[in-house]
Parts: sequence; structure tokens; C-alpha cells
Amino acid sequence: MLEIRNLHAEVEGKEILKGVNLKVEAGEIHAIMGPNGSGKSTLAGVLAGRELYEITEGEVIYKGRNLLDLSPEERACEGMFLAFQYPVEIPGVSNTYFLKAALNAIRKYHGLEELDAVDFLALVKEKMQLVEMKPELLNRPVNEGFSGGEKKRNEILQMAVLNPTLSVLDETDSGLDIDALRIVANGVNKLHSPENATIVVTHYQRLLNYIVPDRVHVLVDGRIVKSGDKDLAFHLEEQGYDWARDLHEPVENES
Amino acid sequence: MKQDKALQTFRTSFEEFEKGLNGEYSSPVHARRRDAMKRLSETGFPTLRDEEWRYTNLAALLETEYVRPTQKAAVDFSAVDTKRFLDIGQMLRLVFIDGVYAPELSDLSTASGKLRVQDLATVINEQPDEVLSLTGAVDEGARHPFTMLNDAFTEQGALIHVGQGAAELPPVHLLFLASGGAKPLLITPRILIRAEANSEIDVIEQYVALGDGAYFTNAVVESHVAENAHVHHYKIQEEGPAAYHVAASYARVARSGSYSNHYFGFGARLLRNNLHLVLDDEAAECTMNGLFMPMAKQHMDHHTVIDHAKPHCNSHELYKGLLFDEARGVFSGKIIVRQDAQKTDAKQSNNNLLLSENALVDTKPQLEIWADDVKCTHGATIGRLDDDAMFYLRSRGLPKEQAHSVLAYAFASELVSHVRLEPLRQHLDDAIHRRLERSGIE
Ligand SMILES: Nc1ncnc2c1ncn2[C@@H]1O[C@H](COP(=O)(O)OP(=O)(O)O)[C@@H](O)[C@H]1O
Ligand SMILES: [Mg+2]
Repeated sequence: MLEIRNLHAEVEGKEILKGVNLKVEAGEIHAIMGPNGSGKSTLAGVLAGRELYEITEGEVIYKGRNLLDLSPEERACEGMFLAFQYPVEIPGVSNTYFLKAALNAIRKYHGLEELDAVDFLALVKEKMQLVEMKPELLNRPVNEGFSGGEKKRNEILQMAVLNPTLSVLDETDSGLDIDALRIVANGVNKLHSPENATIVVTHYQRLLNYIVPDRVHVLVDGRIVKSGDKDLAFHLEEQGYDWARDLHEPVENES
Repeated sequence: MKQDKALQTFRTSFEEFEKGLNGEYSSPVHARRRDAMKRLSETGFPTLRDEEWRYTNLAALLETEYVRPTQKAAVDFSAVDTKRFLDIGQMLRLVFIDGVYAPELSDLSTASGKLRVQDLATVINEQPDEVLSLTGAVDEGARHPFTMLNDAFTEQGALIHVGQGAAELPPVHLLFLASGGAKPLLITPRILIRAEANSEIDVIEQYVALGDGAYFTNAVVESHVAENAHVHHYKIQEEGPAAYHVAASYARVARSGSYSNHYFGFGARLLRNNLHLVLDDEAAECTMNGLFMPMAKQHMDHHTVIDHAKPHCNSHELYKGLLFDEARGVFSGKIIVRQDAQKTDAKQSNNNLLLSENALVDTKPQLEIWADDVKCTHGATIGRLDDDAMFYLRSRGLPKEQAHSVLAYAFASELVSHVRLEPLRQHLDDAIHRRLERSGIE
């Protein structure tokens, strides 16, 4: 489904990603772990099409197409979804309006009829139960005045409504208490299927108790320095990232 | 030079106007007009050297030679469906074509003893004293030259008299249709509003052009708001691409009364809107809200003055500009707090969104505070669409253009939300969306 080959990316002339390789197949859950500032959000942003980043080398093949040629909205319509580490507040735009506009933009792209208000509301109500979100948040402006946890749930709600093929969750666990973490993880697990794939980006091993990955990758200083199965996450938790930092030679990812 | 020529042209028009007056020539109303013409001749029109006019170049406006509209409009409007411009259900409607009252298109059937709405020319004939009592009551000493011009040509317009305690009245809609034909016309509406104690009224002042030609709307509105009366005044400007519009709204508010002015600007090549409000007794309140969305080479200039004359009064002001293409915007908001006006609470903000590299806006708060126990806040911003928000919307599948207009609409819609007439909100929403569709966001 996704293959990242020797990806290099810069921001403001500074190289952040220094040759990332990663392969993700349908039905898989991958975790990317790494210390702060190692480039996890940069990688997620590059996949979603953030223009801030300049790609200097490498390629990304997604469903047989060159992902880097697509605009952010084309990527979204092709099933790419990024749950933001810091979801953006948009004053003046109601959450419902936003969700409906997004869903209908994607439907339109696929030649489907737009969903009317009634059908849309039914869909949203059903999906909201998945993340146990307060109904009043629907009529509020997007993320404005939401608590940290509410913002993260809102990201997963969007994911549930838009039904993506490849989801990248960027630190969706940060700022969540244990109950919220369980709810969010449960939502992600329920949305997982043999047809889609998920990349979970996280700083802590904690989330991986709830979302069990098929592969774990350690990103340090813009490179994946080690890959392994879910036990690698426990190992990291015990040893700390210093251990990973000492792995000089980047390893080939053979998943 | 241009000034002299313009003055000369207006004087010639004035003489012609006088010739057509017959018996009215010797009336006190006309004496007032003559006096205004004389004062205008002495004062002249402002130039860029005038502090209050330094951002707005009047050269093109003053170079154009205008003629006064004849009684018969050049365009046949009889087939025009006036609902097309604003359909808000039950209301009183006065329609003016090229500035001249058109009774056949107007609808005063819901007028009542408590709400008198008349065309001004009739009132000038029948009750000239009433007209005199309502004109110049605000800002007599410091009238703008363009208000003097309107004073000189005061004839057409409307008088709205809301009786004591009258409330839950249908809104009054004043629709000014301009033919925008080949000959540039001088259109000088005067609107007089008197709201007696404990009354409440909504007045919608709307300008629409049907053609693309040049003309000059020079309007003046004067509102007299009595004790505990509430006037909601909406001005919607949808004029042509070559139209000039210089207007002033004055209001004087008595104890516990309120006046709100809601401006929505889409049209005209050059607009200058002056607001001058006086909070004249304790617990009076006023709101000044404005949304202007100039595109192409449109120029929209807003100058507002709020005069806190007495203690315990509140004023709120929110102006927002969305500027496209090579448009230019000006906002100048003056807050005067007199020595006597302790416990004043005045809020002002002006937020601007530049939607193109070449759009420009100047914003200038001016505070004159003579009292010491007051709360005055003001703030101005000039910005562009937020990149993070743009990316967020696009990452969810919204095409770039749609993301632009969603964000621009979100910025603008705050002003619409303060309009209390639901059908009018709908009209404004549509107008905003049309503007967003027609103009490119870069
Ligand atoms: N917009 C930006 N401008 C400049 N530097 C940036 C920007 N975004 C990220 N960086 C830098 O890139 C590096 C990687 O950041 P990021 O991808 O956010 O790391 P992580 O998500 O792993 O914590 C950091 O050194 C950060 O300072
Ligand atoms: Mg990060």
C-alpha cells in the first residue's frame, strides 16, 4: 500500500529526514517511535502533503501512484488521513459543517452523490459513539475551546467518518488520560480492517498496550535506526532512546 | 482646480434645481439648502492634505460631471420585481429609482398609526417644520462638505416616525435602485428617523445598481433616538463598479436608548462612509458593526466617530475588511470620551484579511479621552489566511479554493450573526458567498 524509499526532506534549509525507508501493507499496523525532534511529525506532514517541507530526495509510492505528486486534498480523497499532533482551531466554522464538507468533497471526488443533512447526521451520530464524544461539540467551531482530549477524539471522529485507507496518527495519545486513551485506542482498533493500514506515531510505549502493532520502527535523527516486532517497543521503554541513539548504522527495513 | 470646477458644476445644478421649485423657493427648508450651498462654496471639498481624507483620493469623483435625475428615470423599472433585491417577508418598502421616489413600486400597506413612513418630498411640502426639526440636529457645527452637498440638494428620501411605545413593528426597507446609465447622476437621499420613547424599529437601507455606468450617491441619514428607544439600522451596499458613494449617518441617543449600525459593503468603485454617533444621556448604548469586501480596484473608506458625552454609556465597534485583488480599505475609528462621561465602556476592533498580495488596508484608531474613570479597549489586525488552517482543511479533502472560501466566510460571518432579522442574514450570507465565488483568493 505504501512504500517510502530513501526519503529526504528539509525545512527552511535544514535537513530533517535523512533517508527514510518504510513499507506498509494493507491490514498492518505500524508504530513509529522516536525521541522528540527526531522527525516523526515531519514524516507525517510530508505524507499528508504539507507544503512547508521540501523533498530533496527519494520517493513515496502509495497505491501504485507517486504520492508526492498529489495535492493534500487529492491525497485525502485517495484515502490518506493524518490525525494531527496539534489539531488546528478554526473559529467560525462549525464542526458539523467541516465534517460534512470534507465527507462530501471526498464523495464527489469518487463520483458519489453528496450526502444530505439527514443521512449525514445519522452517520455522525453513529461514529460519535465510537469515540464517546459529547454531542454539543458538533455545533461548536472546529476545535475551538476543546480540551486536549476532546481535540484528539475529534481527530478520530473525522477518521471514522471519512473512512480512510491509510491513517497516520501523530501522537494521538499525548495529553490523554488513561480512560480517554482507552477510548481512542478502541476507536482506532474498531476502524482497523484487512483493507486499510495504520501508522501510529508515538513517543511512549503506553499506547501500544492498546493498539498492538505488527511492526515497530525507531526513528532517530531523521532515519529509521531499528525495526522489529512489538517487543521492540518494550525494549525501548526499558532502555530509553539513548540506546537507540547509539545504533549508528541505519538498518534496512525488511517488513 | 478640479475642486473649483466641481463646485461650479454643483452650483450650476443647484441653480437649475432652484428654478424648478416655484413656490417652495421662499420656504425655510429652501433657505437651509441655500445656506448649505453657500457654506459648501466657502469650505470646498477635502483633499488628500486633509487628515480625515488622506487615504481617499476624490479626484476621479470630483472630475465627473453629474446631472440631477429628472423625474422620469431613463430605464423602465415598472417590470422590476423589487423582491429580487431583498425578500424578507412583511415590511414597509419605499423604492427610489435614481434617487426619485417611486410610489408604484413601494408598499406602505402595513403602515399604522404607530409607524409613519413617508417619502421626504411629500413631507417637505406638507410639514416643512418637521423636516427642519430633524435635520442638522446632530453635528451641526462640524458638517462634512459632502453632508453640506446633501443639505443643499435635500428633496428626496424618507421620513420614518416611530410612535411612543411602538415595538414589534415590521422592518422598513429603503431600496435605492440606480440605473447606472450613460449619464452620471447625482443622487442625494436624505433619511430622517425619529424613534419616540420606548419604541423599537429596524431600518434597512439598501443601494443596488442595475447598470455599470458611473453615478454619485451622496446620502445622509439622521436618527433621533429617544429615551429607551432602540433603532437597528442596516446599510447594504451593492452598487455598480463605477459608482461613487459618499455618505454620513448621524445619530443622537437619549437615556437608556440604543442605536446600532450594521454596514455591509460589496459595491461601488469608491466608498466613503462616515458615522457620527452621540451618546447623549446616561445608559445610552451604541453598536457599530461593519463588513466590507472590496475586490478589483474598489476603494472602501470607513470613518466612524463615537462621542461619549454622558456617563455610564457603552459602545461596541467591530469592523472587518476582506480585501481581494488590488482593493484598498481604510478604517478610522475615533472614540471621544467627554470629561463628564465617567464609567464609559468603549470597545473597538478592526480586523482585516488580505486575500491578495496587492490588497492594502490602512487602519487608525483615534482616542480622545477627557474623563479618568473609563474603560476603553481597541485593537486592529491585518493578516492573511492562516496556513495551518488551510492545510487542515485540505488534508481532509477540501479543494484549495473551497478551503479559502470556507475560511474567508468564517471570518466574515461574525458580522452577519449580529443581524437580528433572519431573512436579512440569509441575504447577506448569499451576498458574501457570491463575492467569494466571484473574486479570486491568491
Ligand atoms: N516549521 C518548522 N520550522 C523549522 N524547524 C522545524 C519546523 N518543523 C519542525 N522543525 C524541526 O524539525 C525537527 C523535527 O521536528 P518534528 O518532525 O516535529 O519532530 P518530532 O515530531 O519527532 O518531535 C526539529 O528539530 C524541529 O525543530
Ligand atoms: Mg511530533
